Amino acid sequence: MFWNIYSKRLISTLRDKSTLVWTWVFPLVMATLFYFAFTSLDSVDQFHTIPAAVVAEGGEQEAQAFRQVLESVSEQGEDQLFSLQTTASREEAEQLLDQGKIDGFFMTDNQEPTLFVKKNGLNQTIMKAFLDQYLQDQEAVITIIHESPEQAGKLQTLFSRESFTKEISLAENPPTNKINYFYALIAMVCLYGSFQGLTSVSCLQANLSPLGARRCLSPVSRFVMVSADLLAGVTAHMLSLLVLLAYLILVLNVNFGGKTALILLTSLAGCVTGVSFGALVSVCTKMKEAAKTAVLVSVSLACCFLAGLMVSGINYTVAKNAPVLAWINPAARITDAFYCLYYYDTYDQYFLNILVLLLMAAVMTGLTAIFLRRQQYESI
Amino acid sequence: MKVFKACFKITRRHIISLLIYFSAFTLLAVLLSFSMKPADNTDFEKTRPTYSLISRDGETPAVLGLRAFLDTVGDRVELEDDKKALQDATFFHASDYILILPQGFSESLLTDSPLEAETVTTPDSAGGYYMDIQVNQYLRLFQAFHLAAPESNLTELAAKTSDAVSAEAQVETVSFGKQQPVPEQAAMYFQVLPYILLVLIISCVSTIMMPFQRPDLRMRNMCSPLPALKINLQLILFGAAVSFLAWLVLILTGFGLYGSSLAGIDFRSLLLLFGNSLALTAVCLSIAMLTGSFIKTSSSQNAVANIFSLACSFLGGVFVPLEMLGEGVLRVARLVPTYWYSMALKKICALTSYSPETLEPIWKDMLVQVGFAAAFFCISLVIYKVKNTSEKSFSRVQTELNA
Repeated sequence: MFWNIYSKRLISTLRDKSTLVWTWVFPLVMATLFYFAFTSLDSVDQFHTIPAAVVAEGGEQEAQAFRQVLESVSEQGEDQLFSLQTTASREEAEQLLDQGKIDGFFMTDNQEPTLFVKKNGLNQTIMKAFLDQYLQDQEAVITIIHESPEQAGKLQTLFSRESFTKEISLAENPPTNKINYFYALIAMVCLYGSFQGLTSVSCLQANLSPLGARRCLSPVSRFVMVSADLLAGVTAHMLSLLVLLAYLILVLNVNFGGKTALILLTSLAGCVTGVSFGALVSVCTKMKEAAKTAVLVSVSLACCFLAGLMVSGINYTVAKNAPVLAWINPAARITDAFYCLYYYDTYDQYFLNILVLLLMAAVMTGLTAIFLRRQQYESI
Repeated sequence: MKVFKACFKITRRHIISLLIYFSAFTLLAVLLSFSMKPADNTDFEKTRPTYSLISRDGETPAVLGLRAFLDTVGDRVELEDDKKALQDATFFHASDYILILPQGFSESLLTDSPLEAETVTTPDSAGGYYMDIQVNQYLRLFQAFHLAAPESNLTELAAKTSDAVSAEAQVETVSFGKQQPVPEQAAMYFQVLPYILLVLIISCVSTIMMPFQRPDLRMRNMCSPLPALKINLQLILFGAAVSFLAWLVLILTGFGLYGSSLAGIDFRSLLLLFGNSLALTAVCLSIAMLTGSFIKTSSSQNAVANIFSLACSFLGGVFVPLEMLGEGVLRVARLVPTYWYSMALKKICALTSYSPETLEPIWKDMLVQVGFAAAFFCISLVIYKVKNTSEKSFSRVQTELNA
């Protein structure tokens, strides 16, 4: 009887067009959209050569020396800081600035070089840092000559070393802004498994649907009926997740860290949590199905928002400032589990996430079982 | 107004779901606008990248001096000296630049070849680049002072270096007589509004429209003396009332949050912001009417609401600014009404005068939205008409009690 109910429920799910759109097509559409929308997301924070100008006014030695330094850092190559234009007058430079062709311009007025900008920004700040360094070097030279005049001839040697730092990488895979959106999307699909749970319980409870009323009369053990139904829900939903994962990995080339078995385990744990969540919401309230759906959608979207579906990095902020909220959020756990697989070289945090997810699923299934147990109706 | 009254009855029956949608999505609007990047100032202010300093060399004068200097150029984020904590902070941009000073680093500064400090940053990040320039500058001056006077100890060298790095250049902000009229935070709220309006209006309007799609009810309505056009117009009227309510709730929430900063801006900008969001509300209503024609169950209702709202939001520059989208994506984005909303919003926020020339592009963007709304309304009316004359659309009569 178990397989009978299981297969019937599976077939009925796969024939339900709205569920197919909801859990199969929707995630694929979203993933494709994310893929195209985030093409250049990683390059936003990257450093690019800064468009700048220098006003060629002032023939003093000081002004000329400054312009020479500027030209040296604007030479084409790997270390190029500015793409520099030289203008004849301040008005010309201001025009370029107003048109947005440059981020700022330098001018040596009364021997002191000054930076002119239109707005704040990192490029403008880097331009200021360059100017600061020029003045700081001058200050340092004056101090050294004042204290140790014999060093005046060796100044070039004193300032010769340019780099004191070396960049290291903490993980095999590079950090990226894009990937968390995809992980949060999978988390959302996992939580949408709650609709499977909702349907299962609706079709089991006599007070929720005519089908449930009929099934309550059937001579089948309640346990077999509930477990076969919920398991079929999990299977159907897992199939949709597999399609999504295959699409993400094989078509869109989203990097999951290459640990296929653990990726599947995460999806399964997320799927079970989603289905049990839907079952619990469905069984513990007496609201109409539309209201229950509203609860499921709102809670799922709120969880996914906090897991970084709309704003990347919000999951980190929540984890830092409200760790309890982060730990009880199933979407955040699913996202974090995928993140662990991508970025960490150890598995302790990953398995902790899976454990928390399974624990949530166990608690919710347990509560569902308590609600479903030995229910009798005087009237429906 | 029988149909209009019937809509009220349906609303009363679905009041819980509608209230859940209203409260959840209003809260989401608030959270979204808070989580977006904070405002800039009109006077020149240095952008301060975040940095973390992990000293495995204790608190020596050199370390303290370096930290004090970095505090003037960046915002310090305290992190544990733990690999995972550092990995997390880099991945989620909690710290743009992590500097790790190895043991014996300070003492090595008193030699001719100091130890190298390790840095962790996202590859090619501009914030990391800026902080790296600053760290190298401090250490370069520190070493120069040491080479010039090798007898000086760490404390003296740190003091000299700190003096030298305190020199700052002059920066002048050229204003070109312009000022930004809309505060950044309020602009952020209006930027996330399309997503909330779309999902809220589609969810609420389709909840009310769904019962009218039941074949048995439609057959009964078609027999009634009320013409189909009148029925549809009354439905649209009720949808418009619900949409206006959604818009009003969201605008009032916006005022509650950013009222003080919004009060300071020119009322003409405020009217334009309202007009732009109202034009989008009309689009949302038309999409809701269109989708309402084929939604039959509550789960497909949510699928449609989410597909439309998230897709339009991502393509229309609601979550990710339009500048970050590729050229190809932008070409597709022009086919989405939210794109025109975002364009108009951008122009309103950058308005410096209210001459017809400056306002013209904004009117055009709003008109495109109204055009979208009209097109969607027409398509939905055609669909209703086709459905009413097609036998197929009545083939599945639902018998469930609660459909």
